[in-house]
Amino acid sequence: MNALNNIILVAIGVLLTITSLWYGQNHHLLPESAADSAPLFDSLFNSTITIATGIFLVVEGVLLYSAVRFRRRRGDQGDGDPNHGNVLLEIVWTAVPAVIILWLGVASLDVYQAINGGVNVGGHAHSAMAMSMESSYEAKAEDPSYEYTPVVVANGVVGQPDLVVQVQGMQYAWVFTYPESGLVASELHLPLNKRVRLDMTALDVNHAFWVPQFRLKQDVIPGRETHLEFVPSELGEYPIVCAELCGPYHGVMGGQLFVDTPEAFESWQEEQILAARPDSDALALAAETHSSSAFAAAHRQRLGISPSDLTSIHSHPGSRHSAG
Amino acid sequence: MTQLQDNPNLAAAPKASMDPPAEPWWRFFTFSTDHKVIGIQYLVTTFFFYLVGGALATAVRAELATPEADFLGFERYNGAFTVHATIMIFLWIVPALVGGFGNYLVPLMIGARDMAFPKLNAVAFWMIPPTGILLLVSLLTEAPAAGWTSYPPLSLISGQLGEELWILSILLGGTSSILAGVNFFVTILKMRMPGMKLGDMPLFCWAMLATSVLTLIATPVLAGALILLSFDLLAGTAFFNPSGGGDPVVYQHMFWFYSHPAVYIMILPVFGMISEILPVHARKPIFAYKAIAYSSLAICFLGLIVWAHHMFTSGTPDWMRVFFMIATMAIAVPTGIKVFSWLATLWGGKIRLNSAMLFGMGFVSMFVIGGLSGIILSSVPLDVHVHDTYFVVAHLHYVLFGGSVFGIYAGLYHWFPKMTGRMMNEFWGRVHFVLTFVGFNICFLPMHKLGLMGMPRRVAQYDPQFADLNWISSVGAFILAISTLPFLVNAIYSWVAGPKAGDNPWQALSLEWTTTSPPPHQNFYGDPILLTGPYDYGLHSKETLDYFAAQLQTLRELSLMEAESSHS
Repeated sequence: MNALNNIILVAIGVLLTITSLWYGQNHHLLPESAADSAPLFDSLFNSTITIATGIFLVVEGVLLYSAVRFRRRRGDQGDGDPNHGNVLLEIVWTAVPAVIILWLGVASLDVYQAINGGVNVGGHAHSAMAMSMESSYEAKAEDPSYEYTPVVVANGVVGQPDLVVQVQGMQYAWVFTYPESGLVASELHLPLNKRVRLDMTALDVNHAFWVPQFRLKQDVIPGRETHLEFVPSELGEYPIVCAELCGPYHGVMGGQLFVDTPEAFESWQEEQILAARPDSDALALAAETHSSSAFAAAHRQRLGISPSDLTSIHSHPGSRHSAG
Repeated sequence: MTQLQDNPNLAAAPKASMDPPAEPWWRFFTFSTDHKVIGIQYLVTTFFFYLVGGALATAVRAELATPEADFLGFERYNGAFTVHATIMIFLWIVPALVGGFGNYLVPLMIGARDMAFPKLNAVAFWMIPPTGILLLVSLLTEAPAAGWTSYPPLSLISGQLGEELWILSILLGGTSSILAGVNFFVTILKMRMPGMKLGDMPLFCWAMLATSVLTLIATPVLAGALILLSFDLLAGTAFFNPSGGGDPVVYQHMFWFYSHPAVYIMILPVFGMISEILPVHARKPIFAYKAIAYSSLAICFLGLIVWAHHMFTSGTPDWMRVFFMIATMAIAVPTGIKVFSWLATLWGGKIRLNSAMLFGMGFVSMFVIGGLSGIILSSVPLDVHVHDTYFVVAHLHYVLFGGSVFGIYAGLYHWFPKMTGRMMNEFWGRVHFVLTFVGFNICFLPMHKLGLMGMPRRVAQYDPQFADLNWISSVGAFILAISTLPFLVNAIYSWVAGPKAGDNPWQALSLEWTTTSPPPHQNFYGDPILLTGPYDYGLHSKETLDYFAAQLQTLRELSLMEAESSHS
C-alpha cells in the first residue's frame, strides 16, 4: 500500500514537472521579439512561468484534493486530526521558496545587467547613485573595480551607441530628433543591428516609452532626461505605446517604430532632410504625406492638432530645452 | 484552561449593569461608541460604496468591451477609473477590513469590553461618510482624472476642483485610518483579558497588530504628499511641478511609501480572517500558529521597504531597482509560509463546504495566482515590460478582489450569525460563490495576456487586436456585477427574517463564540473566560465542550439575574 502511494506520488510529481515545463515553453503570452535583449527577457520569463505553473498546480491540486477527499461526510460531527505543526515541513516550505527567489533574484540581476549592456548594476551603490542619470557605459569606464562580464550580448559590442536619438513625449505624440542631422520626425526609424540610445524627456506630463516587441519601457519625465539603450534585431514596423497615464487621450498616444536596413535608414533620413528644407518644394509634399499618415490623422481628428502645429512646436528653439 | 469553579471572578458579581439583549435598531444611525455598532456601521457603509465602485467598474468594462471610446468617452472614462479605484481602496477594502471586521472582532476575541478609545473610534467612523460624499461630489462636478495614484504633473493640470476634492477626501479617509490604527495598537497590547498572552490571541489579532503598525508608519507620509500636492495645485508652489523646478518623482516615492504598505493593510487582516475561518470549518487546529503570527510581522516589516518596485521604470537609479527587487522577492517567503500552513490546516480535516469555507478556500486559490504574478512583477527586467499594462491590472485584482474581497465575503458569511443573531441562506450563498468565482476569472484572467501582448492600462481606446479578450473580460465583469445581487438579497432578508443562529452555530472555539449572538452591549456576561485555546479542534471531547457550554449558560443566567436585581 505504502509502495503504491509512493509510486502515485512520484507519477504526480513527474506529470507536474512535465506540464510546467511544457507550459513554460508554450504559453503564447508574448508578442514576437525584435531587440537583441528581448530573448533574454523571454527565457527568464519562460523559466519563471515554468516555476509559477508548478507552484500553481501544487497549491490548487492540494486545495481541490482536500475539498473532495477531506470533505465532511453526512452525519459526521467529529473533528479532524488535531495535528498543529511539523517543524520539518515548515522548514521545507520556508527554504524552498527562499531558494527559488534567490535563483530568480540572481537570474533577474544577470538579465538586467545584460540588457543594460553589461553594467554592474548591483555591486557599487555609491557610484551607481552618482551615475544614475547618465548613460551606463560612462559609469563603466569610470569604475575601476568593474569586473562583470555580460552573459550574452549580441554582436559582442558594448560601448558607444552607434546612433543617438532624442525623444520628446508630449500630449499626445512622440517627436524624434536625430541630432547628427538635425532631422525632426514623428516616426522613429532605426537601423538594424546598431546600438541605439534614446535620450528622452517630456514636454508636459509623464509619459512612458514602450515597445512591447523590444520588452523595454522607460518613463519619460518632464524636468529630467531618461535613457534607453538597445539593439534592434528584426526588420519591421512596431508600435510605440505610451504606458504612463498622460491625460484623456492617453490611449491614442502612439507612434511607429521602423527597423530598417542601414541603406533604407540612410535613404529615409536623406528624404526627410530634403523634405524639411524650408526653401524646398518638398515641404508641401512632406506635409501631405504626414497628414495622410494614420498618426497625424488620429490627432487631427480628435484634438484638432494639424501637422503644421506639430512642426511649429518642434521647430521652436526654446520648446525643446525649456523642459530640460 | 481555567476551570470555571476555580475562577475567583465568579463569586464577585459584575458591577456593571447589563443592558437588555435586544437593542434598538436606530443605534446604528447614532454616534455610538459601542465597537460592535461601529463595526457594523463600517461594514454597511463601505458595502454601499463597494456597490458604487462596482457600478463604476461596470461602466469602465462597458467602455472597454469595444476598442473605440464610444460609451463613456475619453474624459469621463478617466474620471470613472480614478474614482473606481479610490472608492474600492479607501472606502471599501481598507475601512471594511480594519474598521468593520477589526472593530467588531478584536475586542470580542481578546475578551475586552470595548476598544481602548471608544469615542475616537466613533470619530474615525464618522469621517468615512464625508470622505465618500466629497468623492461622489467630485464625480458629479469634475471628476479627478489622474488615476488613484494622482501623479503630478498630470494631476496638476487635469482639473483643479476635482483634484482638490479628491485630495481632501483621501486626507479625511487617511486621518480616519490613523485614528483606527492607534486604537487597535493600544487595544491589542493593553486590553487583552487577564491571562491572555500575545501568543494566546487569535491570529486575526496578530494580523491587526501588524496592520496598525503599517497604518501608523505609512499613512502620515501620504498625508504629507497630498498636502504638498495641494500647495502645488492651489498656491502654485513647485514641490512636484517641474515647470517650477520641482521633482515629480519625489511625489511617486512619497505616494508609494504609503501605498505599497496599503496593499498589506488591505490583505493582512484578510490573512487573519482566513486563519480563523479555515480551522473552524475544517475542524482542525491552525497549522503552525507561531509561523503564521510571525510571518505577519515579517510582512509588515518588509512591506515598508519595497515601495520603489512601483517605480522600476521611473528613472530610478540602478542600485535602488536592485535593492527593491530583492526586498520585494523576500516577501514571497512569509507569504508562502501562510499559504502552505493553510493548506496543511485543510489536510486531514473534516471540511464543511459552506459559503464561508467556499469563499475562504476560493481566497487561497485566487490569492496564489496574484502572488505568482507578483513574483513576476518583482523582477526588474520582467517588470520593465509589464509595468503599467493590463498584466498589472490582472495582478492587482487577483490580490485585491480574489484576495481581499473573497476574504471579506468569507468573513461576512462566517460572522454574520454572530453580528445579527441570524443565519444566512446557504443555497444562495453558494450561488453567490459560484457566480463570483466564475465571473471573476472570466473578467481578470484574460488581462494577463492582454498586458503581456502590449495593451497599456488606463486607456479608453485600444488597438483592435485586443478586442476579443477585452470582450470576454467585459462579459466576466457583468457576471461579477450580477453576482452581488444574491448576496445583497440574502443578507438583507436573513438579517430581518433568517433562522436564529444561537451562540455558536459553527461550534467554533474562539472567544467571540462564547457569548450570545449578537453579543450584549458589554460583550460578555460577567467576565470572559478562556475555556479552550482558539484552535483546539479535536483536542477536547464533545462531553467536555458541552460541559463548558453548560457552565457558560449558568454563568450567563447568574449575571442576568444579578443585573435584574440591581435594576429593580
